[in-house]
Amino acid sequence: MTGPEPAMERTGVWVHAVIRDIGAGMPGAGMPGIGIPGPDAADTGAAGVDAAETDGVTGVGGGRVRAVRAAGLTAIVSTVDLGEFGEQPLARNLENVQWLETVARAHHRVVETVGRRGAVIPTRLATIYRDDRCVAAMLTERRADFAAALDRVTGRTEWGVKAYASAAKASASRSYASRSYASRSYASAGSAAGAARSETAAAGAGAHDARPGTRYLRQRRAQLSGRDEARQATVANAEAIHRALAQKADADRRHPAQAPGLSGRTDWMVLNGTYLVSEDLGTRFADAVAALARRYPDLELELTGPWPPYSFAVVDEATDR
Amino acid sequence: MTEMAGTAGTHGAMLAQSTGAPPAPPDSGNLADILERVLDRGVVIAGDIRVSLLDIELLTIKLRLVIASVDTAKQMGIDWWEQDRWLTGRREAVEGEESRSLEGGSR
Repeated sequence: MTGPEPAMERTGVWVHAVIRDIGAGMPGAGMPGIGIPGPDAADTGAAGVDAAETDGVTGVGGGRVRAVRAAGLTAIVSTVDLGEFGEQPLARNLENVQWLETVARAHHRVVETVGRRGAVIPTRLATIYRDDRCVAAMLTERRADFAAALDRVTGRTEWGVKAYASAAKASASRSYASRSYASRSYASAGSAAGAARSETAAAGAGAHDARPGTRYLRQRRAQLSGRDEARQATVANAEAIHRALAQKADADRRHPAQAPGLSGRTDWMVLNGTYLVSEDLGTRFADAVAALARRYPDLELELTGPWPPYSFAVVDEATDR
Repeated sequence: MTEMAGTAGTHGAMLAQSTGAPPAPPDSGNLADILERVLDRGVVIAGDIRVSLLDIELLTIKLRLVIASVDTAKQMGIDWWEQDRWLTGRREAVEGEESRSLEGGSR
């Protein structure tokens, strides 16, 4: 153990986000927004680490938010009790939805606050180190990755656009979660449309059987095919919306639809996209969403943001989904 | 859209605007939106406390099941989760990984 005293072993360091060194080029300027003093503040005593105390936003577990600086980067961290955030308790607590919500909101609040000041790389929930020294070592080791990621998101924010198709409009109420949606919605635009077409063709083939009972089967098939077509049209419209928005963005991602219970909506989420947009083009992006909403009246578009660039804060493109 | 124009670019105010619904209350942010971001996005770095990425992914799966109410599940058709990409796994191997993890082998 590298912990300087036994008591230290009972706490861990939760990393909220990584930003450029708050001391660099900003003499005496800390992060007043979250109460992080400038680099002149007393450090924790850990070698090579300036971790200044804050009295602003609280981190997860109610702890104060601090800065750990190394390698030209600053990690925004808070100290957590390993009795609650240690390996075993954490695994247990993560199962508790109320606990999870509290922690998720606290983490997000810090990321958001820090992000107001400038480029921020949010870390995934529950990134916890033994102590500040370990955080500093991580910053040093991944310095180049973080620098590149920070460059990518500088001056940009994330917007979320979801498209909902109401069950009635899409004629796909119960079947929206069927194979066609589940397998297609996350595929690329081209292959999804292709798959949709080939499925329609397959459904149409053999519709001229002369055997008894074919009338029912034909009707049933036509019904299903009609439903398929409505679904396909909806999917195609969502693809078109995504492509149009992607053109207005520096980067874009499509994500799995949110679970109906979690999003509080029961209608079909046909698009869950995020878009990295220049801060000064946010208005134009919102206008584009509004224009698309008018153009595709059967889909309800929901715009959220601006968010910190959660969906685009990747240090290793290879592991990106 | 003018409301949007007013807040675009100011990082703090979260706003959700549906074409038919009033904007969501600022500041909070929809829980689903926040959870999917903090759990599924954001940079992954290996901390000292091992909560493997796998565990987190399993968590989101469980969470989706827990939060979706029985009523909702019924409305959606009882098998919606069987078709959900999260649950069938964006990697084919999720099922195998789950059993491994449940046996305590994830670490």
